[in-house]
Amino acid sequence: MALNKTLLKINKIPGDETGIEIKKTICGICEGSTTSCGVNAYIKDGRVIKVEGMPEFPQNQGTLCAKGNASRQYIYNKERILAPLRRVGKRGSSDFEEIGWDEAYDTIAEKLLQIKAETGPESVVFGAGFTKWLRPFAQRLGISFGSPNFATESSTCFFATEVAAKLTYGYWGGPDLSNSGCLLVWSKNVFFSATPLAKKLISAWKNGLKIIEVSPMATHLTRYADVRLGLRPGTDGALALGMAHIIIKEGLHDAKFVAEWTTGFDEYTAYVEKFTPEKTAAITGVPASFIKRAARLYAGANASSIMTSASPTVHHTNGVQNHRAIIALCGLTGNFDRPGGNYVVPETWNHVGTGVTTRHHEFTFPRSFDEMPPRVGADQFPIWTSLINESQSMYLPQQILSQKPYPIRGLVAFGYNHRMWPGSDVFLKALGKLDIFVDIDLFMTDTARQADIVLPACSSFERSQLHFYPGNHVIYTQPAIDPLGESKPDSEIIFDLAKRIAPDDDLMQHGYEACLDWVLKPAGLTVEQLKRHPSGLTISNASMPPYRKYEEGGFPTPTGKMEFVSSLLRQAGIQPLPVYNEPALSPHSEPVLAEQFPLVLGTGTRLPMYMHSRTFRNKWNRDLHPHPTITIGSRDAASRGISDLDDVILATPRSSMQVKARVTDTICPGVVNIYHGWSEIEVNHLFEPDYLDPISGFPGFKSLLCEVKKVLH
Amino acid sequence: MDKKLAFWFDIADCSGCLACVVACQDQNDFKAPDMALRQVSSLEKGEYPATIANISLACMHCGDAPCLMVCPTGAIFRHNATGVVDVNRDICIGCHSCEMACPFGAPKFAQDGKMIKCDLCITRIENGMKPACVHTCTTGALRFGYIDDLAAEKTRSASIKILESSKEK
Amino acid sequence: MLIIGNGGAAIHAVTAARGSGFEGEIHMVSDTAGPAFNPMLAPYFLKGALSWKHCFPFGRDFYQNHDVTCHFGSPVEHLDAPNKSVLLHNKNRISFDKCLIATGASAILPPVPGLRDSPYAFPLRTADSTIRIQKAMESAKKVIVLGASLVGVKVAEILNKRKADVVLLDVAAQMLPRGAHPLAAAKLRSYFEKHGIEVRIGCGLEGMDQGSEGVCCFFPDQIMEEADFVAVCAGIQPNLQFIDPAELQIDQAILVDDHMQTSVNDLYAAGDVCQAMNRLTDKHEWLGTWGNACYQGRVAGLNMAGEMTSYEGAIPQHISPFFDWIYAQIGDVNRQGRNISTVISGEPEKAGGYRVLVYDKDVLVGANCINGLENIGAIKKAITMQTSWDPIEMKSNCIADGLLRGSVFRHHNSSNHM
Repeated sequence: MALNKTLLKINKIPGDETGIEIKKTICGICEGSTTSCGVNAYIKDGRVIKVEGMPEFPQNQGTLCAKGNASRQYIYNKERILAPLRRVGKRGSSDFEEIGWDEAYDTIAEKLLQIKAETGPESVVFGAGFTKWLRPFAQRLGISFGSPNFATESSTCFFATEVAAKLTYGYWGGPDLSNSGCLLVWSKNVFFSATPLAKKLISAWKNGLKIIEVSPMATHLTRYADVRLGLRPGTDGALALGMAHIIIKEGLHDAKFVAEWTTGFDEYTAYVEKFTPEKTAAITGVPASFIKRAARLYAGANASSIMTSASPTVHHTNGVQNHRAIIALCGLTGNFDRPGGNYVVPETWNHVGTGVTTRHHEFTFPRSFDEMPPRVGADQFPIWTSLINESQSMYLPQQILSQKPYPIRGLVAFGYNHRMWPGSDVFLKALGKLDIFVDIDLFMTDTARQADIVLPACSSFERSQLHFYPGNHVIYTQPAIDPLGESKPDSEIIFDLAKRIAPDDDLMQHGYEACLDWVLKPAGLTVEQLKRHPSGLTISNASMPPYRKYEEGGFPTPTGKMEFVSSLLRQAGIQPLPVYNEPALSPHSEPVLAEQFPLVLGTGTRLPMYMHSRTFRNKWNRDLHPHPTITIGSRDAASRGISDLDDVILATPRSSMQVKARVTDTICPGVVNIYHGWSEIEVNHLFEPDYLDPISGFPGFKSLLCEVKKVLH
Repeated sequence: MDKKLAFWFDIADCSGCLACVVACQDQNDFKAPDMALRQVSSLEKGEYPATIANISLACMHCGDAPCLMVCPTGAIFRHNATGVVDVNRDICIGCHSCEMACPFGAPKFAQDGKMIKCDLCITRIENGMKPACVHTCTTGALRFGYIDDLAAEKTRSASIKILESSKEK
Repeated sequence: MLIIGNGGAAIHAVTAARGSGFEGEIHMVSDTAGPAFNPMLAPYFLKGALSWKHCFPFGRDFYQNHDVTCHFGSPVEHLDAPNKSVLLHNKNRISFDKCLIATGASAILPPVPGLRDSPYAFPLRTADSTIRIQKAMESAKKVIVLGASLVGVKVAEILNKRKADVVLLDVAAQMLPRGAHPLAAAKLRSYFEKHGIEVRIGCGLEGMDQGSEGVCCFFPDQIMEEADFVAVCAGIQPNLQFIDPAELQIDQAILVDDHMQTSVNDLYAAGDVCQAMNRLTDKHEWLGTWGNACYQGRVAGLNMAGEMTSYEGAIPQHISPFFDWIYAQIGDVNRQGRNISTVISGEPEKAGGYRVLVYDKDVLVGANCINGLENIGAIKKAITMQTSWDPIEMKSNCIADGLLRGSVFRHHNSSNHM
């Protein structure tokens, strides 16, 4: 009996015998429609002793990635900040003293209100890093305070695809996978970055789904792909236009849809004329026969859909137009908003679309932007500003430094990482110019070190969070454990601040759950009801929107049609067709520079154990890939005398750094990749701060010129 | 032995996501650097675009386990009911003979110098759960079951493949 | 079925025969009393790593459970191979249909003047000799260990941990002369010396005599040293004394084929007493390890029971902890020839450990490693299979990487696209 009990304990078997209880929560490392996995947290004596995927959770069905499995090393990491901190030393030093929450809040409120009185509330920027669940509350806080400025990581991720979509269709949706015959996966590595999709994709493939993969590297997806288009990074637009050329030439497009529901088709056809398979092959490096095969496969299937990722297609100086060219293929072939195509599902909450309606938009925007001063980046990125409800963070450092068109003096950031900015040394400098910088984070990051006040946030295991999932599943989590030390959920911090800096926001004064109830009202859901379903709830009678919504009232574009030629771009004096331009720094656009920097550099290629800069402190994750590395092909390595694991210098015109080389022939010859999230090297020093897409403001993180040289010891 | 348990691993579907490695570490509270009872290796073949095969290996619970044969004290033993190969750490002397005998690198050594190995999470299985690595596998490449059932499943899918390919012809 | 011997080979022969369905009589004859002893465990017992009871891994009930008739304490005087019988010391004679010789090996008492009859000479092999040396170790303050063999090295460590002064001797030019690469042996020597063990290589013992309080040892150049005792770890030799060499083919030990049968029909041999196939050299070699004995015993038992099965053969291999290091030697690290290349990498105290890898053209034939041994079983398998290593073809292969570089990355957990 005793032996049995010991075995149960050692093996963490939940039950009365061991005193181990399972509590349901969600992982907060990644957020979005394809992640936020359901988790079973094994709790004993108020501590998490094990985690695993929640089997009954439709999103991930029991699976959990290498990052989620290391949750305990995140939650209980000894670097967690456990009390509010006030800086006493110089900016950037680690000289902080612990203060109480009230004192912290009072200090912050006093300063923010002072700035508001002196130069206006717009002088305070509210922001968030990757974290998304808190954004509606944080943005509302800022707006209720009076500032239009909400500057987040979405200025470099995902929203540029929204810009491209809105310019072309007015709206967009993900693949209606279960009804698709062919899936065009344009640069998404689900097996590393969106593991809940892995099984679903493999299963669909086993049931006959044809897959086209577009990627500069061979990945695990390549095994399932009918054809892989290994393109030079940044040439996505040319490739898409090349596919359009073939589709139109061979009459594979949906002539009816094009005639009834699009504008600019003639100009588009004339433009793609020059993107012959041979010309396209010369630009992209993809063999002409592959391009033909892919175009025919995509256009010829019963129903085809496109799966894109948040950033690889738009992290280029020609990103938005690239992405427009890609998604244009959808309308061209009549696959827009139809079964098996790309299906538009309106957003329910935090960029997840379901058949459930909420008041998320009304909640987040109690006031219109028209009623407030212009946002940061409005002049520089007018298209972005007109289509996206945030500031453009890429202009933030410039505005802080120049004080034009108005001074930015305060920043309240929920987990900022200064390294996210291209030329991140400039942003670091800008932070030093602020009157007050408040950073909310779990750890004393290099960015938090620049702050005046650091407020300790907690993990998803320690808070309550609302999340919707495709398939009409919703969860309102309950804390699996108490927040560590004096850390608080970001939501609590936001509502506490609201009491002090936005006292006129009546709804916010009622608190977090009251707000959630307000948001959920149209859905007929309440927080109390959701609390009774710890694993979440599938709303089976949620009515999914109809397909072909455009048939009722047209597309939400100025012309009411799908725009091959974008009215908004034309209006702004920008080329309205989804034209192809070389990346600003490419072997074709800068041949002289390319003699010195002949390799194409892409940054941010996903690794399975890291998510941006989040999991490096988790030993189990760090051990899996301990050193910064670049990947380089064997020919490029051999001609430089580089062997696997050699120390090398990666250099661009702006900066250089020492890393290790991993020689692999999964990567395109002439291309080099590096993961971006390391804090021991400065990947984003490699870029100039203005290496941006002029339309979206997105940095050209995935196409740049570089050279790699072996370090001689 | 009643019914022998085994891991099932489909090399075609393993994406190298490494979730199984960390799940095992989390289940077993490993603190030592790089200590895991499950390992994933990547084998790359060919010129660009090279193919990668990922292999996730823990203990194979071999039917004729070399570790069991060479263990000088008999510390390594087999669970009668399931065939799971396990170690009695009370009589393990840390001689490393098993480490030399195992072609898969399954025997590992803890801080106390004694051997520790994958036991197929046998206690979890006995309580109606899956091994931690199997539970977490993001692609379904890693599964477990009774060896007869797994063999039958393999035969079935092979037969289907043969039938389908002959249809295509 | 008659089995002469009561060690790993003998026990596994019984298990295999009974498992195969053999229901006839099995008689076991042994010079020792009591259950089977594993000589490999002797140093671990002396180290305090396991209890005396556990040095007998198969237990007392084995014989009854497998229906074995035991003649313990009855050494065999003479084997009459043509007439299929043995004469025991007590003058009893046992006839057999099939016989397995599994008498193992005994510690060599080297021809050092004064050693053979000295009460201060302590070999280490049997259960009795283990108890005997344990008593001597209790009060020993200085010990000469004769032979830097695998056993000698372990005994030196044990004595050092008990705070005795240890002199580790070998006539050869290095420690572990039989299987170690000179560079790895040198690393081990420095490590032992760092622990305060005096290592004298290229040095023999010239004589032993009664000392004032213990034993007096004579060394070259007329040096004389007193010690409490001499641990005799100068190797082992097969126990063949009861065999007429004209009746049986014997080289260093009894030659056997793939079925563990000797040159005489129905006469088998297994374990440390026999010489089976070395897969690397394709020659019969005497490779006495516990693991080999067990497998050989099983094969012999199956064949004797009528189930035809072959022995897969073995390669030289050894692994042991020494202080805080783990040491391994596999295959042929001292092979010479035009096509031999040796790759040396790492350090015992650095991540990945120290590796000496010996290739014959592109085939790995030997490995001598200290620490970083997580893949050692795979390396052994590779050497056994005589796998060829083409670095271009096998890039990013965890084993290849580890073998070729022994470097910073731990390759057994690597993302496929780093």
